[in-house]
Amino acid sequence: MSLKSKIFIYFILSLIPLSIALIMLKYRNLCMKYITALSDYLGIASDYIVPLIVITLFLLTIIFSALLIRTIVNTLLSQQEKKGEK
Amino acid sequence: MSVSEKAREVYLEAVREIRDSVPKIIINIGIAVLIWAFTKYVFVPISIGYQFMNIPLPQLISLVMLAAVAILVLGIIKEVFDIVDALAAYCAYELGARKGEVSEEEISNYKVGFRGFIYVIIVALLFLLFKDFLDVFHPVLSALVLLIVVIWSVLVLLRSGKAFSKIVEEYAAEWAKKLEEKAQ
Repeated sequence: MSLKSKIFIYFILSLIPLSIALIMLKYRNLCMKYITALSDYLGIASDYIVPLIVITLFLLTIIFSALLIRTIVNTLLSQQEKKGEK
Repeated sequence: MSVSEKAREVYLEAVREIRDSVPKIIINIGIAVLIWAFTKYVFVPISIGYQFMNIPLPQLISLVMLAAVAILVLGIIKEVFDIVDALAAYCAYELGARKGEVSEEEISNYKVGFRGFIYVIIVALLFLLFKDFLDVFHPVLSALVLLIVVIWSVLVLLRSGKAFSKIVEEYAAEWAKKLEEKAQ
């Protein structure tokens, strides 16, 4: 996999949970209403579902954004090294 | 080997050290700041009012964030030590090259002085970053940590000041000697 596609994939993967979290933050009441309705339909207690969703989104965001930053900095450094060698 | 040659060698070593350590430090600091920002502005506001296994969710998220950042900070401590030591040695040799001589004691004084200042700056910045999250656990916790940080900073800065005062004393004595010679 090339570095550009790797960066793109990490960017998308970190953006998805972050944008879901931002939507949840903006339309908090509406989101909670839908999540509660969904959990009632599935027969799972909504007290567990909401925290689990938030923790999962948090972990996904920090993991993929960490990978994204690491890949970008490493790419920039390797490019500089190549320039230096030339 | 003369002092200026040694200074050049130490300078090259410092540059090499910076080239090796700075990327790792930048990556870890960048990740830590990103995690801090996401936690503070996105995930803690979302989680307010929810509990997970009777633990308030903001506390749980703050705990995860603190653990993640602690791992990142521990990962770069050695690199920071190396850079500070390299810079201290470089400063000692640079000044020594001007004077024409440099002693081991002078280098160790610079190292102690620089280390103290840098540690206090790093710890103060970390405290500023995490104060809000410590407040989430208990307001007393943040006050207690602040008290410990202040006492520790005073002790470290005193040690650094002592290390630098020896160097300042040497320079002051040299300057006084020159003035005396001028007067004669």
